[in-house]
Amino acid sequence: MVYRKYREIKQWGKINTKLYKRAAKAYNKIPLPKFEVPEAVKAAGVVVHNPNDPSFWKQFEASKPLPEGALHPALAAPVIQTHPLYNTTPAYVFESFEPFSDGVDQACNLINAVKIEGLPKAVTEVQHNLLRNTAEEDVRDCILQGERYDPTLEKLERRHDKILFWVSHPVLHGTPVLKRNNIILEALYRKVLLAAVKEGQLNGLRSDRDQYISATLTTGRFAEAPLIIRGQPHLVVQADKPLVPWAKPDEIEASKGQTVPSVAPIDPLIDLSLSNLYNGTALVPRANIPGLFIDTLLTTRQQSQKYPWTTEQNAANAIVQCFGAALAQATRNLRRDKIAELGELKEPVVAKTVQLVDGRLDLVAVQLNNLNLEAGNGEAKNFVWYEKGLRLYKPKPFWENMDTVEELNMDAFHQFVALLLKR
Amino acid sequence: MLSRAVTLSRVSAQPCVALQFTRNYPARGTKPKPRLLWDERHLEEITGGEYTHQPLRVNRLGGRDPDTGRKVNQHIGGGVKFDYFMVDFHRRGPTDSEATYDERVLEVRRDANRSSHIALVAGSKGKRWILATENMHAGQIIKTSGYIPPNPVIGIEGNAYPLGALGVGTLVNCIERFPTTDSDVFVIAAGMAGVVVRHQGNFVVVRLPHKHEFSMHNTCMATVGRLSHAEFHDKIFGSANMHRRFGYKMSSGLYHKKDGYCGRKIRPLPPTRVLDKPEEEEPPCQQFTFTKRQLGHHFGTAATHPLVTQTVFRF
Repeated sequence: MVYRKYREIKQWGKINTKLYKRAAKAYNKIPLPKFEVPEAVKAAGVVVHNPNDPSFWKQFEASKPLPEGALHPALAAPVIQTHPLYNTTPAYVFESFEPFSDGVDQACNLINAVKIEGLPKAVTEVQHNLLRNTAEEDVRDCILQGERYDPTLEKLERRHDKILFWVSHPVLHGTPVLKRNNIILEALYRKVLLAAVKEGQLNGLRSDRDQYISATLTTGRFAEAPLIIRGQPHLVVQADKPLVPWAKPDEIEASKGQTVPSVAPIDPLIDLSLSNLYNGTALVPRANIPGLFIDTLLTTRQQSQKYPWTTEQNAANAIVQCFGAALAQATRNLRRDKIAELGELKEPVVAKTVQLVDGRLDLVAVQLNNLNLEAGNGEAKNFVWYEKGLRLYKPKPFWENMDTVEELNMDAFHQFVALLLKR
Repeated sequence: MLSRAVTLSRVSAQPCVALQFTRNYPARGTKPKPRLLWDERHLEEITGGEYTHQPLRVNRLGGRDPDTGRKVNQHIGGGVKFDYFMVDFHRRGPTDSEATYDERVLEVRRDANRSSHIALVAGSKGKRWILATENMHAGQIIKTSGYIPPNPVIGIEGNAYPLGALGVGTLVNCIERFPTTDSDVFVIAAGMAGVVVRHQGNFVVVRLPHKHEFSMHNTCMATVGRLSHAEFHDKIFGSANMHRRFGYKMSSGLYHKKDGYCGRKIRPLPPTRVLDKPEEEEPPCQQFTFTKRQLGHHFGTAATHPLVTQTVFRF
């Protein structure tokens, strides 16, 4: 029986009202045909109002005067057009929110770059004396600084198990995963930097922590809707000398006959969002200090528990961020109209990026030769060198304490050092 | 409820015997009830009416009507809050003879909100989720065409064609009822497929899995193939608790009086239903509440002259 919440208090009388109620309900349920204005009435040009339309009754409403001060600008709802970064033209924005569908290929297609898997031998086979005896202990120490020694006690996100999806795990406190990765990366960088400075290398570097970096491109297909690449890497390392191009002029010439990876039928722009809020020019830390050149970005990501990114998607993220850094350097202190005129660069711009995600390092270097991203055959292409998913160590799940570093891979660290030292 | 009485009388030498067929209970189980699983108004609110491939958290109705709050569907409620993926059931392609809209399948995954698997596909217009057919896998290229050739084509599984382009005997799913993007679709359950039966002018007759036939415009789009996850119907939850985790409530325990509705019904199939034009929505009933001032005869449109109201008629 259907649950009955309300019951009549007492019977109305001797008559069985249910009969009348049943009949009335059945009569009310008979649907009438929808009223259509007869053709003859329409032909006569009679104006027929529809009282079902709520706007019909507005004519009888008395206009209410607004109270005093209702139109004060302080009470006005904020409008997006008043935002300081608002632009009338929407732009394609990349800010690491959405993974690239086709991974590295899509990133290379977007930035019109030749894909080269692996760092060149000129970078990896460089001899150095940094941390010769203590490298392994130092690296373990750096990792434990983020994973174990950090005293932060913040509420961590709820643990979600994919298999036992109904279990509600208790909320734990500790260092957030993003902060852990930031600490590890910074510790490794500091170790390498201080050791290198003793040997007379890596001099004159400046680092900025958690600063915004944004780059704009308005050439080619982005003339009407600019391409914006922005992020907030943990470390932006700048040097007083620009990086020496990795690809020589003959290799740049040879790239004119090379093709970039194809991602058909996917359009590389589908994973970029459209937004009216962006910087029209490059935003770089220490922009007002002359004689600085972007060297390396050190950035981290936290994997989503339910929808983790693949190694390809993480590598694509690192590549596009690296491209953004190189673009920001190429368009540093340039006005919007000057950016639109850029094409083949007389002096190629190189930038490097190191990304740490879930114990894996992505090492990327991008050389910008041509800012026309629609350049086809016969025009110079950009270059991307990348090492994706290098396992540095095996992290434990974020809800567990790490006592010792497991499965430490020193090769990954040596590649990291080689990338930093290459200038 | 009114009861219907049918009286039969036979002409015979014996006195007339009146047979009466009465149904004392209201008709039940003859019309499908809407499945009120997730709140579509809340979905529209959080998406702004636009499509997104992102996983969403949508409020659930538990089988309740969103207006009255009453239970419409039984045995639904509770369970783990699963992420909701908006599925695009309508596939549109160019109407040129050679052109197709191509998409690549990025991944095929289970969906807690439906029985069949869903596939994330990416094309030049963006990413979207569609229902995955049986052999759909990541990396596959699927095509959508809106062209109706003079001779029917052999449909490739996973591709979408207008019904008029498909030959008789083709297995189809996600068949649009009307050739519009907001129409409902037939055949969305796991492992199911409709069959194209015949072409009749501008209409195509399709037999659905429950053997009913519908005649639809030949420009209605349909996907070729059987839907994925056919083994869904053979899967066992394993325990009563697991049933509850998926949002199914208990289905027995109370006393049920025998009412004659249960049991297999052997009825002839209805004739082929022609879906020509969608039913027009009736305008909603308006309710107005007037104040005492408005109901009274002193003010507003109902105001009457005192000469009329104060006139006393003496007869």
